[in-house]
Amino acid sequence: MSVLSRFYNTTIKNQMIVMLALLAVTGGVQHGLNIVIPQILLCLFSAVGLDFLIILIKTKKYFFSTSAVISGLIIAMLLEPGAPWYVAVSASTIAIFSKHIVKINGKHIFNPANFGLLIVMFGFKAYLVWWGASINWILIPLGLLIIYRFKRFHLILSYLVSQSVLLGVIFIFMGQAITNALLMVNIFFMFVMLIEPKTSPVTLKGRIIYGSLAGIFSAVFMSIFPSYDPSVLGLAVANLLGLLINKKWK
Amino acid sequence: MKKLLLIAVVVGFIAACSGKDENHNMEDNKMSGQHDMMGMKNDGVDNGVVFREARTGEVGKPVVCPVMGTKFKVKAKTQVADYKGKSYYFCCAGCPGPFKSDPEKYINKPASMPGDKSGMMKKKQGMLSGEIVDGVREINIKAFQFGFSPDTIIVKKGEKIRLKAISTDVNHGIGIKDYKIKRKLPAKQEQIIEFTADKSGEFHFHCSIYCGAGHGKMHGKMIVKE
Repeated sequence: MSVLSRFYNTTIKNQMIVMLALLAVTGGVQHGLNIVIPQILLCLFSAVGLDFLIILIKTKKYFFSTSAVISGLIIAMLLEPGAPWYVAVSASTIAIFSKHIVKINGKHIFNPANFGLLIVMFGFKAYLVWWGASINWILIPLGLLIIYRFKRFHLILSYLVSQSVLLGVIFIFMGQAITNALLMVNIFFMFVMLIEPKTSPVTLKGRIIYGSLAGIFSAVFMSIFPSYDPSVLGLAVANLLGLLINKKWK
Repeated sequence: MKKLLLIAVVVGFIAACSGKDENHNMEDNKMSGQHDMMGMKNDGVDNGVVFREARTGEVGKPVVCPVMGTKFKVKAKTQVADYKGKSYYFCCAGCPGPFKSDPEKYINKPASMPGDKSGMMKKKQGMLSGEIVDGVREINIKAFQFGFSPDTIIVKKGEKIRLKAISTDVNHGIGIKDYKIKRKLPAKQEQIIEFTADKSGEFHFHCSIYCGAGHGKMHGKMIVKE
């Protein structure tokens, strides 16, 4: 079996890890591997280690969760390269704690990585650079493959359309080029964070509404609170509203 | 249905990714159009400098703006100054003004080439960015989707630095962590950032405000020489 077919047939989570690892390496080369590798390792060890411990305490079983690897990688790739160690560790541990503690009906409410980043963004005034998230030639093909397998086109499309349309209108009022609105789309966010299965609604209609809300809130936050990351804020609000969406459209 | 959705998404992405240059070009053209309002009339003579728009034969020619040092290709609306038998091409509306007031400063000063994308030319020559104005090293820096121009600035340790930063499109920010600098750059408004380069070494700077799909690519380097 060729590498490509093995990759195609592996789990979606594994595909996600491969994509994130490729992005991390490529982004790391651009920003300095000596700076980003320690950060990646710190986030990975914090997230995976804590998740392992919590699962061990709760179930008395040894289990390494791939979702903790994904959370650790996302956090490492969004924080500024060379972020203080305590910021990286805090974001990763908060992410894992939120996954195990902030729950309703056995499902966590917030996207763990997003929640960890949200807290350090306000708590430590950390700013998010998304250094590993802008390599579109890796992100687009692999992201589309994941979305195809995950069947989440409607979710990302609703996000894409709602954000672009609203931002387009805002940009017209602000006298800015409307083409800038399309450039504002956060591809990494869309392919990696928005589609997280536990926090996105279960029904098709619910997901379309959820994606639209994430897009609308991102556009609004981009316009009124540009100093805070609009995608992270928008997703946190959409996560909360996802609870209501799940209740209304079961 | 799935195929249609897939095609729509792919087309959208391609448009988003290719939109960058087009967007920047539009910006440049728009700014070029403002030259008249700024007193930079075409074919006018100022201080021995003759301003005009690019000729057909010049379109597409790779050039370096004498003021900003930005490398770019000449477009139909690019402003050109003919001075002492040589043509100088400007990257944006803000550049002809300073050139008009003191053309000698820009033609005799290769140090005014901070926009060298890689910064290698300056690095090799050991040149410092910007110029000294009233004892302060003044450096113009542009932020745009998705980059800074220049993306490498070189200063001397102990110097007072004044960064005159402007975003040419949407809101951006500039953050130099080691110097505890984090400043918002609202679209098209110049911001003055002053600090003393008291630490030597290489310091990375990033866009500190999310500005789109290429936000992570918006970074540069400040080299503080001993």
